[in-house]
Formats: sequence, structure tokens, C-alpha cells
Amino acid sequence: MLPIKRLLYLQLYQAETLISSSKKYNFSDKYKDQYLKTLVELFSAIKASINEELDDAKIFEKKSHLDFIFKSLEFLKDSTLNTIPFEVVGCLDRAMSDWIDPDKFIIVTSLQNNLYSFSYDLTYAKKDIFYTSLQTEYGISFERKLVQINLPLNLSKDYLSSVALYHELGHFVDLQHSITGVAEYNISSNNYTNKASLEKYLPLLKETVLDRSKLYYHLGEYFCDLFAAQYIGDTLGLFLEYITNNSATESPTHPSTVNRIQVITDFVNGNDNPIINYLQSVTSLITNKKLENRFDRIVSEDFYKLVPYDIENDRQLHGTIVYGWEVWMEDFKKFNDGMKYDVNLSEDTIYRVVNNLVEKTIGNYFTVQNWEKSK
Amino acid sequence: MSSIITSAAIKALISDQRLVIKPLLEENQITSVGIDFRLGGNFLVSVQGREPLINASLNHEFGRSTSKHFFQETRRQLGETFILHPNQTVLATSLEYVKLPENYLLALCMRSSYSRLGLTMSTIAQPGYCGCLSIELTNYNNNPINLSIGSRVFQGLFYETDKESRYFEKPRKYVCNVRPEPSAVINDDDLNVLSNLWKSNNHL
Amino acid sequence: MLMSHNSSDQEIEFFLSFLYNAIKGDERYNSFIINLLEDAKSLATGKSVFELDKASLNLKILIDRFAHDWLLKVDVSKPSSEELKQLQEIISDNKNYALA
Repeated sequence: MLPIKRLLYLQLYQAETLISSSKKYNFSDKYKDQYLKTLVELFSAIKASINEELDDAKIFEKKSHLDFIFKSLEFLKDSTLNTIPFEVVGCLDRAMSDWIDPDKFIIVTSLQNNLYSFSYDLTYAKKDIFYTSLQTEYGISFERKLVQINLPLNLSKDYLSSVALYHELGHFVDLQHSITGVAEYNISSNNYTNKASLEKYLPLLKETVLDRSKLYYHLGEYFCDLFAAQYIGDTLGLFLEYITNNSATESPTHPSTVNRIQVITDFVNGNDNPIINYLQSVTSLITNKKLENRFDRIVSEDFYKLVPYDIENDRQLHGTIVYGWEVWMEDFKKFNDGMKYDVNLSEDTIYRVVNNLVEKTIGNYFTVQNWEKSK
Repeated sequence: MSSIITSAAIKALISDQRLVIKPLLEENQITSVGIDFRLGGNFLVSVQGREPLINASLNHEFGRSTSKHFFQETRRQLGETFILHPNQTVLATSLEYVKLPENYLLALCMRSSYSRLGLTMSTIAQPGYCGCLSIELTNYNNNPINLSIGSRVFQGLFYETDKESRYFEKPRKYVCNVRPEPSAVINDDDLNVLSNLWKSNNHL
Repeated sequence: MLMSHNSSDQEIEFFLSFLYNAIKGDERYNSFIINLLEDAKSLATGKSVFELDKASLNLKILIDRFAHDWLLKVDVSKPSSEELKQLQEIISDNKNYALA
């Protein structure tokens, strides 16, 4: 047997071991349960189809199918975590359902060891041709796709830094609608005639030979920043400014922080900006939706009185994280003003207080909604 | 003279925003002499640590260990359940976030429907306290008990004190807690005094 | 944020694999391939990218980019094996430049 086939068999038996141990996963969520059942069915079908006569094309397909099994099991295993940050996930779900049918996805969360490891793992969130391959080869289809949200374990209760997840959600939405793909094609195929106006924010357009990869990535980052700004205003900019030292240098995958913050600020303030105008037109043509402000600023003394705020609607839900940021950035002496007697909280205590109050404010909103709908 | 306040006075305190309870899912949680509180979804469950014991003193004859190594966090959502095994103690909190007036103390105990199952707890929250109510819940039944998150497991009685207390007069270990926190007993100043005495007696 | 590049690579490899299967005579892959090529051809003949079905849109864009001339000359509703082999060769030769 050729070495590559022997390796395929190795992968097959590794997958079989994992499938076998996945039988102990216990999900109260029937969608996850169904997904696992379909995965087990898929594995059996893959196993039955692997034989020594496979050619290179089929080996590639089988290997990819087994990779999918591994990835899915990894996601499902992480979803049996008993410390899921429901509040953060709840906010993201509401934002997501403005753009995508949530019923087509199963969202799971994973707590990672790396600091700032905020991301969505979208490996199999789209890939139409991959799912067609499963359907064609084995007659198996997945009603819902698995998507994993990654958060750093040590910051899983830090709601201020969770603003990064709104940006990552933007990548997910982008992928579903192919917004960046179309935006890039439109420019590189010369259909968009006003390229010169974008050069300040996309300096790569000035090069003789267009780096399409870089254009694709940079447009994607601007889109995701705008997507996030709809829900959290300019708080992402604050966060970016700090973790990148407000860099004026672009990279192959990201525009400069200075440019990104300018775009976010212009969007929040309603200023004219060529990148915003361009992405706005592409987004609305594809999705029939606008990139627009989707949160309300909360004006309240509640956090200074050390009590959660009573959220009234989804716009205020997203506004709660902005409120948390505003309180964090304000003079801490305001905590004394809000209480009958001085509290003199230390800064590390205020950090915990702000995050706790954001968590409870969001948690209470979902609790009340869930209670009312079940009565 | 301190006294227990009844429903009209409780409602007045809430209406004046001197007493904050969020969320109050049902008005009828305010009973004739107190408030029914619900079980929250955050728990710290006791687990076997790598150290031999939980050292609640600063004496180091058994080494140093912090209580948080002996507890594991777990969460449930509203409507899910949590199983409390026989003789198990867990740290939990109320679903409600509470802020007490500076002249009222809250005494919390089990509702009788639950104490009849063999569950016990009792705790107090000091005047001026803000946060979810921290509860140490123990199952003295011979059988596991499956509890619903959000069920009314506790009841609270409000005692008026003879004068106002300033909750933040001293630095506080637990501020605006929304989940159970491991014991911070090790931060008690008196333990330093006692440990020094032990060292002195043992020529250390 | 790196997922899109790797995702493109795998999509191209799957497309090549589908072409290979179709060329070998496995008719199960024909309808997907033909639908994809028809959309790619509309793009090649001037249809707006905004009007295309978004399924596998990146692939359609890539096929138009690499095999524009091929799309214009072939009846993609019933391509011959020989024509599919040509397409396979074109894509294979250019796949490393997917987003270059």
C-alpha cells in the first residue's frame, strides 16, 4: 500500500477512537445531539468508503472529510464546558440574528489559554462545496453548521475586552454574505471606478501590481470594524489603539490602526468617508441591510450606585458594554458621588465591579425575557 | 429597637429605590414578612484539591493553600437544574442582585418546602450590602436533590437596625459579587496576630 | 482572520476533485459543476457580481478570473470531458495565485 494510503488509514482509526469516546457527550440541546448523531453516521459512511483502490482525488476528499470529523468533535467537546459565558454569547447571538438566520447554526464556545484569543472559528461555517461533497458522496447533510467562539479563559469574565468579539462576528457575517469577496472583485475587476478615493485607506491601490490578497484582507478588516462599531461604537477603537500602540504601519493582513480608528470614528460621528461609503454600498446591495448605529447609549447613574441597569431592548443590550467602557474611562471618584457614603473603591475593585455589573445587567435582561416568554 | 418589616414597608423601600432587587420576576415574591429569593445559576462545587487540607489559618505547619483550589466553578441557565448530592455543600448565589439600605440587615434562610427536603443554609447580608446574595447550601438528605435554577428556594427577612452602617467604611472583600466567590478568610487581619503568636510559642 | 485564504485553497482543491470525478464519468457531480460554471459564465459575460447566487461565490469569481476565455467559448450547460480537462488544467496551473 502506498504511504499516503497508509496515513489515511491512520487518520481513519484516530477518528474512530474519537468518535467512540464522543458517545459519552451528553447534550441537553437536541440540535447538538442531532449533529453528533449525523457525525457518527458520516464517520461510518467514510469508513465504509475507504479502500485500497482510492485515487489521489478521493484520498484528498476522504482526508478532508476526516478533518471535518476531528474539528467538529473538538467543537462539540468544548461545548460541554460548564462555564460558558452566556451573557457574552447572548449579546453576540442578538447581533448575529440581525444579519443571519440563527437557526442555520449551532454556536459553541471554547475557553482558550492564550490571552486575547478572541475569535470565531469559521472553518466549516460556509464552504458550500465541502458540504456538497458530503451530500454527493454519502448522501449526508448537516441541517446546521457548527461555529465556535473562542475566548481567553483568563478574560472570560472581562466584558470590556469582549468588544473584540463583535469584530470577529463581523468576519462570520462577511463570510456568509461574501461581502469582502464581492468588494474585492469589484475593485480588482475595475468595475468600481472611484478607486482613487480609497487610496488613503487602501494605499496598496497605488501599487502597479494589485496585491489582491492584501486588498481582500484589508477590506475585510474595515468591514469588521464597521460591523462592530454598529453595536459598540468607538470602544473597539479604544481597545485597538492600546493593544497595537496606535500603529501607523499596515501589515499584509491589516490596515494601519490609525486608519482603522479614523474609519470607526467617522462612522460613529456620521462623517463622510470613502471606505465607509464603498462598503456601505456593497453591503446593502448584497444584504439589503445598512451598516448603521444599532445601539443606544445608556445615560444612567446605576453603575455608580453599584446596581445593574435595567435594559429595555436589544439596542440597550449592546449599549451596556459601551456604558461599561464609559464608566471605566471616567473619573473613579464618581463612585463616591453615586453613593450615600464614600466607597473609596480601589482600582482593581472597580475593574471587578464594572465587569460584574455589566454581566448582571445583561444576565438580568435575558432572565426577564426568558421568564416572561415561558409564563 | 430592631424589628422585622412587612410587605408594605418592603414595597415602599423598593419604590423609593432604597432597596434594590434586580430582577424581581414576580411581585408576589414579596410575602407578608419578607421576600422569596431564587436560586441563581453560578456555583462553586467542592472538589478534591492537590493539597491535603484547606488551611484557614496562616500557620504553615501544613503548608499554604488557598480555598479556591478546592472549588470548581460551574454554571447553569434559568430553567436548567443542578444536582446537590448527599452531604454536599456548594457555594451558590441568589438570582437577584440586591442592594440594601444602610439601616436594614437581611437574614436569609431556606423556604420550608426546601428545608423539608433536607437542604439547609443560613446567611446574613449586612446593611449597605450590594451584590447577589452568597449562599452556602448543604444537602443533609440521604438522596441527591435536583434543584431548578430560578426556583424560589430561599426567603429573606429584613431587620431594621438602630442606626445606619457604612458598609464601605472598611475595605470590603466582596463587592458587587454576581457569582459565589471562594472564601477570603485568609485575609482576616486577626489571623496574622494568631500566626505570630503561634510562631512565637514555637520559637519560629 | 487567516481562515479566508486557507478556505479558498481547500475550495479550489475540492473543485478540482469534483472535475476529476466528473471527467471519470461520475455523473453525481455534474449538476453542481454545471450550476457553478453557468454562474461563472454570467460573470464573464457581464452580469453584475451583485446579482449572482452567493453559494460558492468566491469559486465563481476565481473561475472567471483564471478561465475567462474558456468560459466564453464553451457551452457550460453540457461541457465535454475534454473541455472539463482543459478547465482542470487551467485551474491547476493558476491555483497558487488564487488571491495573489
